[in-house]
Amino acid sequence: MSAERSKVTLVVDGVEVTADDGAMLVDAAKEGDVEIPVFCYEPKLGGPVGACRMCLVEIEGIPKLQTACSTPVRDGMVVYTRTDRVIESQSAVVEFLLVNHPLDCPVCDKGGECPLQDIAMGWGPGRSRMTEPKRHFRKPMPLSPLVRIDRERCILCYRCVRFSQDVAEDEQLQLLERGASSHVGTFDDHPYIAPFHGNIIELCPVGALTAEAYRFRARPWDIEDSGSVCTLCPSQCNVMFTVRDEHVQRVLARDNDDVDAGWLCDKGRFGFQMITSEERIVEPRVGGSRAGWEAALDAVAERLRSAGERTAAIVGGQTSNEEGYLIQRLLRGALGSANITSVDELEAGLARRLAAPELGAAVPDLDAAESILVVGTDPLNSIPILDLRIRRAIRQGRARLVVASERPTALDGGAEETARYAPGDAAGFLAALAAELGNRRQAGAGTPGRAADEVPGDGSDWAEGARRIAGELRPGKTVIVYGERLGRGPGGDSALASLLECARALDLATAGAGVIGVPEGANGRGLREVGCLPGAGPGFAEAPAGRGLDRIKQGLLDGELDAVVLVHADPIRNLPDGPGWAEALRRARTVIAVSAFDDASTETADIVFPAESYAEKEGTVTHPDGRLQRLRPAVPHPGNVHPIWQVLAELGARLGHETGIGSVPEAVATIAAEVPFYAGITPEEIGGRGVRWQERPAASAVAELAAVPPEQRTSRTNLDRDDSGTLTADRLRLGTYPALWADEITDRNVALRFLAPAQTVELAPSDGERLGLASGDEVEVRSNGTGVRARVALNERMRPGAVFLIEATAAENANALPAELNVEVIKP
Amino acid sequence: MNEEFPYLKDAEEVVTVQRGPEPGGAKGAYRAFGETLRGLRTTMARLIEGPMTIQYPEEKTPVYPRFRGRHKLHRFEDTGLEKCVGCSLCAAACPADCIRVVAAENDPDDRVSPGERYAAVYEINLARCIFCGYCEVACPFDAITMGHEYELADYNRGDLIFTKEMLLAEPVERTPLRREGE
Amino acid sequence: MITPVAEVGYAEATWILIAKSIVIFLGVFLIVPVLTVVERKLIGRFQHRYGPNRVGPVGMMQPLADILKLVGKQVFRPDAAVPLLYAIGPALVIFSGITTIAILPFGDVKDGVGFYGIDVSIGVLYFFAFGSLAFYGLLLSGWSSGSKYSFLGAMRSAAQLISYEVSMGLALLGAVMMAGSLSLVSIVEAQGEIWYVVPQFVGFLIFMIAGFAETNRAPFDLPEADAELVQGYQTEYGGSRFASFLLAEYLEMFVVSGIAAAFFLGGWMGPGPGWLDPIWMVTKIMALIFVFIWIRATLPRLRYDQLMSLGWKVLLPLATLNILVTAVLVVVT
Repeated sequence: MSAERSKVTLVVDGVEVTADDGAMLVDAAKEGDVEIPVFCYEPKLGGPVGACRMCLVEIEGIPKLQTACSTPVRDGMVVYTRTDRVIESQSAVVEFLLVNHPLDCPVCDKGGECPLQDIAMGWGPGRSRMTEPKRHFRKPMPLSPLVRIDRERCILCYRCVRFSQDVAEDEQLQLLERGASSHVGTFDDHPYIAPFHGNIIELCPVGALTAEAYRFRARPWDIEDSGSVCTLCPSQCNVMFTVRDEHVQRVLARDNDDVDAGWLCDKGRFGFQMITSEERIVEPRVGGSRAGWEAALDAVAERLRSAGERTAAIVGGQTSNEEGYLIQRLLRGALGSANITSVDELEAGLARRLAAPELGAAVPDLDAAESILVVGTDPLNSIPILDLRIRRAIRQGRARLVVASERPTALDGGAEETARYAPGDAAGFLAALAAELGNRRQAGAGTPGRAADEVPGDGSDWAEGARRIAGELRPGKTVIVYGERLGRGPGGDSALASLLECARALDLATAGAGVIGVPEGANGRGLREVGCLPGAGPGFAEAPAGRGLDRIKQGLLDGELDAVVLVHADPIRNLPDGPGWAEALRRARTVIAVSAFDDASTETADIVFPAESYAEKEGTVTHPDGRLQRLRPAVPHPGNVHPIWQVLAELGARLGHETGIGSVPEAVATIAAEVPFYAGITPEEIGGRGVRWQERPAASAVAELAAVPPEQRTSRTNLDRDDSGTLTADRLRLGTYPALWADEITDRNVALRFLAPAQTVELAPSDGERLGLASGDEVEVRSNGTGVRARVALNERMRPGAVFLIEATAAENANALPAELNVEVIKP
Repeated sequence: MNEEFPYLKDAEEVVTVQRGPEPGGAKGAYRAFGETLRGLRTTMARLIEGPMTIQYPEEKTPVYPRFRGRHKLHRFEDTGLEKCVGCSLCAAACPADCIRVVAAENDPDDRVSPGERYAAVYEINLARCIFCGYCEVACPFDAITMGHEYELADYNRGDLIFTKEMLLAEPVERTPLRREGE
Repeated sequence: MITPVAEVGYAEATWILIAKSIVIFLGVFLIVPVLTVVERKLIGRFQHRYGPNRVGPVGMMQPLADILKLVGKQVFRPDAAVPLLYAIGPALVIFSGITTIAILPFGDVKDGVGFYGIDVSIGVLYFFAFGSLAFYGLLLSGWSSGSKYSFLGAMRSAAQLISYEVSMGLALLGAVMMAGSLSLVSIVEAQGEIWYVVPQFVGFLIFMIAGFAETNRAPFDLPEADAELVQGYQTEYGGSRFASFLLAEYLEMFVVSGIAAAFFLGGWMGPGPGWLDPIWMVTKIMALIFVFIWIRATLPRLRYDQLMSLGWKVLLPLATLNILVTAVLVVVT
């Protein structure tokens, strides 16, 4: 972050005010408790535009009134905000805005929380001289299936247009026509479909943009606000639930510049319907029929006792730290099993080193970084708010972005350089990049290192890409955003080891630089840190090695494991080789699922516990950058749902392992005692803004984490090179990716269902031409006898020879294909 | 210095109590007899005046035109649409928090109220209502007014929650209105 | 020939006596319930109210409802009560009321039938003798109830009755002296020229005041004192026994009014033909009962010491003085 700004002193309405040099007058005046009304000024949207003229003030020495939102303060400035001239201009602006604004406040949803209402009351003239009929538009029109626009109420403040143009950069919203006909709209009235467009509702200072889901639902005085954290994706945005009659009615952003910069993605904003869904599981079930908690707990305890160490557990990303801690304790402590893992499993040693405090970058570090490397992930799909953050960093002109990925990302357009490697080749590419970076570093230090070319394999194009990318990266001033899915598959460990090597070569263990891993599950990092990792206990402590995901599946198939506990996890849909998982769960003697909804995995479950939704949960989660955040219950549990931590603690007690945990704060205290780098943390310290453990004194206690000695680069021989080496006419390399809207959350929210993508196979145009396929063709992607139907989308940014399918779609799931690299695309 | 109460510094501290004349003696007897007769005259006068009781269930005390009784919701006379748009301002104004409004969007083909919005649920908990009339004052469309009905007793609390249909229904006007000068 | 139980001025055949007593008995028993409702309605009117008007036409069926209710109540007795005496108490009170009615004259002898129960020569004494029996009823029921409130009420009424009986007797003595007979029929007949209320005005007043006390009515209803003693000696009674007390109270009121009418207001005498005589008598009684009610509606209850000092210090000397004056006048004229 920039150095401390110098202070200046000015006088606002006779009050001496000290403010940061360069601050705008509006913000400086607040220091002196003077409020200057504004409409268009919104720092989140970037620089001031001075368009609404509401903030005019008189400044001594300047003959004309000045806009306070765009006038930086100067030392000795004398400002008046309530002189006759200012009042006259304010009255005039309000009167002018109200000329065409329909005064339908009793009907309008914004009524009661409307800046225009407030300003008209506070600074308006009180009555209008305008007796002519007002301007009329057709209203209210859907701007998108989720947002409606009432153009009569619009005061043309441009906020929504600026958001679309400057923040989301989707450039769909425009100001159309001129003069009295000006209105906000999209080209040819196409619906405004974009992943972040819900934010314009919150930005709108009048009731012109309203959420379809919140229309006429409640008034500000009917509701209670309840702050929490969204755990639908790893962004963990801070949200404010609007609760009426014990139901979540709306989700608003709770500005936290360290996490989300005040924006929400549409999934987080509109994905609350599933909390009150009729389809939710609200009672424990044993053998498919409803059961009381006592009976269900007894049944589970009995089965787990007989399974003993032949038990495994898979923890999904929505699980909180406390739940994760308790489930690993249940397995390790009560059952003596080490087979505990999350969907974000990493090799223990790698996980330990990647979590090193000095290596971790914070989200705000992206703003100040000189270069940003996005590798192995598309933030838009996996951590959407980071996509906006990276765009802002580039837009503000500080950072140069480079993207290295197997599939084109949404950020490609803003990148200085992009490198595309083939699906499954991440390890090779990263090795080349590490070698190149190491080479450059040693060249700088005077000792020549290994050239990228020397990396074994057919890495000629990797070397070229690695060179281009390495050229853009500034040592010590780079933030690497990597997808933790790089660690999946046979070459995963090697890829992450190479990434660590890159980080070392770039001197990222310094302030303002580092890496941010993007997990698959929302709380992937937290779960690893509290011990949901097969090879490490809480705080990455040494622990007996257990089975990872693949070996759990194998164990179930071979009958080596008896029982499996799924917490918020649906492996059949969300993990590769879904059919394999289905078979494994079918063969398991006992499947215990904790789930909010019926899915493929709960169908196989013998005992199902109802899961809390994130609005009902109490606990903590850990952001990918190490920030611990608090979940606070906003609504009561529906039906017979109990907190999961309570269920797990009770299960432990029944299995003879008393945890002594009787409340969430006690669970936090226990975790703080066991995880050295969380030492002493309390819910109060985490508070509403969260706290990064790397910035706490306790982080130094784990310096040895980083010092875990020498990198053990895994051999890449287990990667099946033979198949990939030759690309035959019909055989292509398959990659899968998680699309933003392809998941259970979209399916469970009626309002979002229209966004759920149909299965699409992406191909490079050259491959399409070779196979005689055009965009829109129905094809079948076949591998090893199984096939997935998909529609072709040719994408010129695709690497030739690669095809991509979407993971976890409701139908034609790419995970249904066996874990094979090569596929054929056939026209049926 | 008070002679009667020498321990009191200030004469003002003495509070004198008015006492009746001592009873007994011829004067007392005469007084007792006289007062008794006066009492008898008083009661007899009441007998002659006749009862002033209002025979409540059959006849009712007339109320003033601005009497605040049970609420009424109104419709437009010409269109029959409800005046209430479900803006919830009455609920905001209510000091007893007894009004619950859940609004919904009008279907243009089957309107309930003239605007975009109407009250899908409008409930007044009359067990809580203090009949202050703030809701009437807050209403921007004169959709709710305080009626004259005050016979609201019921056998259980649940029945005292008046729904929109009950409030909209033309009440059986059973309360006489006080005339000018009455 | 029959042998009368007492020395009487005139006696009919036994069957006529029996018939007469049945008529009087029934008449009185029909009047008493009406009295209760009339009292309540009158008190209502005195207070700007209607009084009972819900049961039957203008509320006249109210006593029926009350009686039905009281009769329908469970008959019970407190554990501490003395069973036999507890049951005798109310019976005794009613007995004394009914027996005194026998001497009230509603007319003279017409067609060989005396319009009264019996014309005993000791008339006044008979009244006092049987009237005082009521006091035993009260005292017995108060004591035998086994409750301190009952007992307190009973003691109060004993003291009250004793205090006022003296003045009452003395008040009547004036009229007796003027008539020269104890027989009520003779006394009424003696008022042919002038009702004794005029020459014996003081006696009339004293009799009426003592009569209020004698019947335990306001403002001398201390034994009952519902606010202080929860109905005094009646506290532990319920149902039909309680109704008996109520009945007795109205009976006594009727009797006292009857005696007063006979002694001071010329009994059955009045203008009109002879068959109007009973009607005149009843009218006078009713007028006096109206006064009873009027007083009740007007005056608050006396304090106990006021009651005593009024009785002993005012009424007794006054009554004595009255007799002295009367005696002198009787001798002089």
